[in-house]
Amino acid sequence: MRPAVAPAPAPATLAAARVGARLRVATVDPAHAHELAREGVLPGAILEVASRTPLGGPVIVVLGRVRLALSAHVAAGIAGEPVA
Amino acid sequence: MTAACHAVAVAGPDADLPVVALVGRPNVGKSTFLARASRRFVETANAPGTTVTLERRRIQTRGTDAWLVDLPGTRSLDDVPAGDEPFWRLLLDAAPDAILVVADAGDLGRHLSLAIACRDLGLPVVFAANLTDEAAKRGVEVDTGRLGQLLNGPAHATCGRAGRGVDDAVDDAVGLAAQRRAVRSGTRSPRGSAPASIYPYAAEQELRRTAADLSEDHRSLGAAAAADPLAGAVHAGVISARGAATVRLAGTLESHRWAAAASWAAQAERRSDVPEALADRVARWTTSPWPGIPLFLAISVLAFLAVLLVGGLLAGALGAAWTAGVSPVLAAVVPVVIPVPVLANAVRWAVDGGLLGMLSVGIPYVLTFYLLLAALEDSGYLTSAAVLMDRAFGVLGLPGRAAIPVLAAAGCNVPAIYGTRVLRTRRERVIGSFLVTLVPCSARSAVVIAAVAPFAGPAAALGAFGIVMGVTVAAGLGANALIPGRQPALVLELAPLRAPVPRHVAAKAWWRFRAFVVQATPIMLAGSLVLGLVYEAGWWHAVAAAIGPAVEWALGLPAIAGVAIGFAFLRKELALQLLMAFAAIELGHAAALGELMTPAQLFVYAVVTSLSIPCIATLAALRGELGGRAAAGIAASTLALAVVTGAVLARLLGIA
Repeated sequence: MRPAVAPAPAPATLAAARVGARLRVATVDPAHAHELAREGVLPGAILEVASRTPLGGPVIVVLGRVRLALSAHVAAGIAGEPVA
Repeated sequence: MTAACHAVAVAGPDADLPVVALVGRPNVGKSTFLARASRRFVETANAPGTTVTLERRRIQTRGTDAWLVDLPGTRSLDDVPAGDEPFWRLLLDAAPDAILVVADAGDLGRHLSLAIACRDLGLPVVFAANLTDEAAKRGVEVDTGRLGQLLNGPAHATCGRAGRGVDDAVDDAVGLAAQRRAVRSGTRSPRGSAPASIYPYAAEQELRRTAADLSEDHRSLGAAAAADPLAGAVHAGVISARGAATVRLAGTLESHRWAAAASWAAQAERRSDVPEALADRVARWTTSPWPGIPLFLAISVLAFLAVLLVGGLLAGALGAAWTAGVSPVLAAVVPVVIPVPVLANAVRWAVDGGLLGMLSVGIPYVLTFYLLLAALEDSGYLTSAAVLMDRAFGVLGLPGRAAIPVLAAAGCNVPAIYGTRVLRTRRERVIGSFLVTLVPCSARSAVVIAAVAPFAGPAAALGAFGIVMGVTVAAGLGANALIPGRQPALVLELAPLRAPVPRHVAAKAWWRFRAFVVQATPIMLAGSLVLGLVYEAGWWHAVAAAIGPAVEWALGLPAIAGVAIGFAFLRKELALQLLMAFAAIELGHAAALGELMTPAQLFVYAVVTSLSIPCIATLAALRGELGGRAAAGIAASTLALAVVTGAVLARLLGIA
């Protein structure tokens, strides 16, 4: 069920962010939220897109000192505000 | 063990020794830490883990005996790091009296949340900020005094590789574990205060309610509380009711833990700017399309060649030594011990042929591949390869991690099946092993080349490989669709690249190799004996007569070809020699392959041999790794695929 309020302008998802972009996580798709929380991908965390793999493969992001590989559809479920 | 042991302080019964559990996220150098810690190691034994075997080592520090239990690397207590059980169940099965959390000193913010979760259980926690050497290279220093205050427990800076600080951390943990053991058995009263809660009011209220429910459960249900493992653990006194509640509510507490971890890390870390380490830069390259993909291809080709060349070289040498040294002795001795010639010859098939098979498959190919795989794992490269290949293998229902074993199967299937241990779920392992058995190993490739190329030309041989490959991919697609479940989404921390530690690599390869020898040898011996009997007693004529019409009708091949395919189960490279041996007996004179079958028949024979039931060593590996049912299912599927493919080809080529 979607809440009956006017949708806010869609924040950028990680899947759409270009390589080198930084994103402050605002929302995470609940389907992957638990798994992502174990890796520290929680609202407020800052992710940088490091690289993409061919054929729509995983997105590599930098979180603090580590690099994480996220399936494209997991990345599509992470939305946030761009950070300079 | 008698009750008198209780009076002796030094050597009490094992069950009474305090237990320290080693807990940490993956890639924190926990195995090196364990090796250092158990230098004073007395014996090893397997704790009754549920689906995972836990390594339990008996250690002695400052005159106190204790068990040190190694648990698989985990990201949180409700993570499922191995098998099907959540981590907290493994931890509770170990029934620890204290937890030693091993963490990366260079990235405390990432590791403290697990320490907080352990502390929440109500057990004493000792924190080891490990990998201080790598942290120093990244410009990070840890203030263990401040960290200890925040954690309300001892914190140590440790370096497992150099052995710095490890003993102190272990001593502290064993001391706390022994204290808790004494408190639980009532010989000492509890000391110290509970740490302050890090959770906001609402979360704390929910924790209290859940804890009350759990302790109510265990009081009212008593022994029946065992049905709920958390209430059972509270009942058994392994953890407190509040501790159990923090496990149940892990989902809601996780974000608070990470927030506290970040704040504590900021207070306990001292950072200075240093240029990016070379290993980190190389690690970044390995996952970018360029130069990551060429690098991956190069490493795959090298892995394949190494297994083929080193394995082949060793196989030749060991095989020659066996035929020169042992075979003649067996040939002389066995007929004397067993006076019935048919039986004696069958036993020689088993002992001579079976063990020679182990020597020329097991030791050379398996050990070579294990060493290689262990080195790739230990270096951290395997996760990079996994990420690059994730998309391509995802179509087959496999994660990218499957790439290395599946590609290495082209050298030999047997080690590749053990190699599928790098996969996490049973589903992945079943699909991965199935595909591995379809990939033609070097022996089967040799059969395809020798049977097809001289008679139908090299292009036809390539065509045969193409067909086998096509069937393999189709089988993967089919298995992915048919086997229930789906490939989980990839959320993977990329391991930093490190130089592999030769001792780890050797130890890992050795343990896997031992498992192979133990599992495969009896099956090799028994299988060889049965086939030896069928051959020596001349029963194969009856087999040929029985299956002949079916083989001719389905595949358009002579009956002896069917028998030879069956016997090639022993060793695939025998497929051609056996065929010629049978033919010589049937025809009364030696015959070349070209006289026995037409090029089209040889083509079908090669493809069917390559696809049909894996060899006996592969079957033994499948059975040992996945169980008898899965092994039988895979063998039957490959046989069905082989027959269907062969039948279609035979009709296309006009021989059936």
